[in-house]
Amino acid sequence: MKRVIIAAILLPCMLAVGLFSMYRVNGTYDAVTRITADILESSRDGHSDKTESLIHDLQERWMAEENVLTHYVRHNQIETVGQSVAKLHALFVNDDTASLEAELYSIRWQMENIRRSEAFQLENIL
Amino acid sequence: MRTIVIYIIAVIALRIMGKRQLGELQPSELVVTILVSNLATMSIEDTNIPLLGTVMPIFTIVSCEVLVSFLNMKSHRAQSIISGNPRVIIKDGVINQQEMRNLRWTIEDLMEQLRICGSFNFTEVSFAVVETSGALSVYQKYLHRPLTPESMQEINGEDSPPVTIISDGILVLDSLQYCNVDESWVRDILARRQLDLKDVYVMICDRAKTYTIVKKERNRK
Repeated sequence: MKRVIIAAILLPCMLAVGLFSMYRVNGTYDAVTRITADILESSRDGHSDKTESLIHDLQERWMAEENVLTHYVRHNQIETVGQSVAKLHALFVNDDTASLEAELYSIRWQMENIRRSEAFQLENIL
Repeated sequence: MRTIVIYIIAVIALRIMGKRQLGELQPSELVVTILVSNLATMSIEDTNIPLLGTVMPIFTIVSCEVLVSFLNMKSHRAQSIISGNPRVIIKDGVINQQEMRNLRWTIEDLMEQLRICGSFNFTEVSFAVVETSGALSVYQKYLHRPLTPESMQEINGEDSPPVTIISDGILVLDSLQYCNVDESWVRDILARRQLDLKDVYVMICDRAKTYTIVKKERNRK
């Protein structure tokens, strides 16, 4: 009976951890998508200061989120996003707008992949 | 470090599953054991997988297994669906060919299992039962059994293994038929002992109508 109680407690706990991880991944996805969209917009509008500040925000945000996401998401997926985020500032300083946009799209695409792989969807199960 | 953590988790998971799983594996338990070992291996080999990605499936599978085992214990229907029922494949030295086909056993499989159980001729077997774990249990005819003081007395009676006729308060109808008794006979015996069906944990009986009753214990803390 003791084991049944442990199992009955463990199962909802595991479900809660699963839901929490999904919530965190979705939160990070939303934040990263929003900031990358803002960077794209300000870069196209030629607001250098704002773009630099947003890139700085994104890097700081990502550093904080990265530590949490490593608990739930495959590490190589996070590393790919991290590498792209790290390149942004150098691309901005060198005025390589095309590569900057490409990296921003890459970050969004990677985040979308992470979100999809974590979500409770039939396509994930199949 | 990661390997040590996973080792500890695997040990905890096996402890939650209990000793039963280690000793006698039911089909679902075998699947769980293989899955747990594979999940643990995956995480040790591939450091890209987060630790939670191993811990969560292991504990989820083990919890499901414990709950299914509990359901098995509480419901006979669930038990027969999940674990199946024991099948009699030899009765009084005669092979039940239909059961052999159902189990997809060849005669070589049967003979091999009989030999493992110490019997080289199926005509020497009184009863052979394929348990839900797939193991064969053999009850030899008394002429072919090693002689013991108890078996000396048994020669005078009928040679039949006892079967369970009440399991956790539930009558097993097939067993009643085997023992050539009916429900009223069982109820008479219980009435004489001032017992109700639900008070009986197990009652075994053979064809000579020799029975043993074990009363259900009250739930202990």
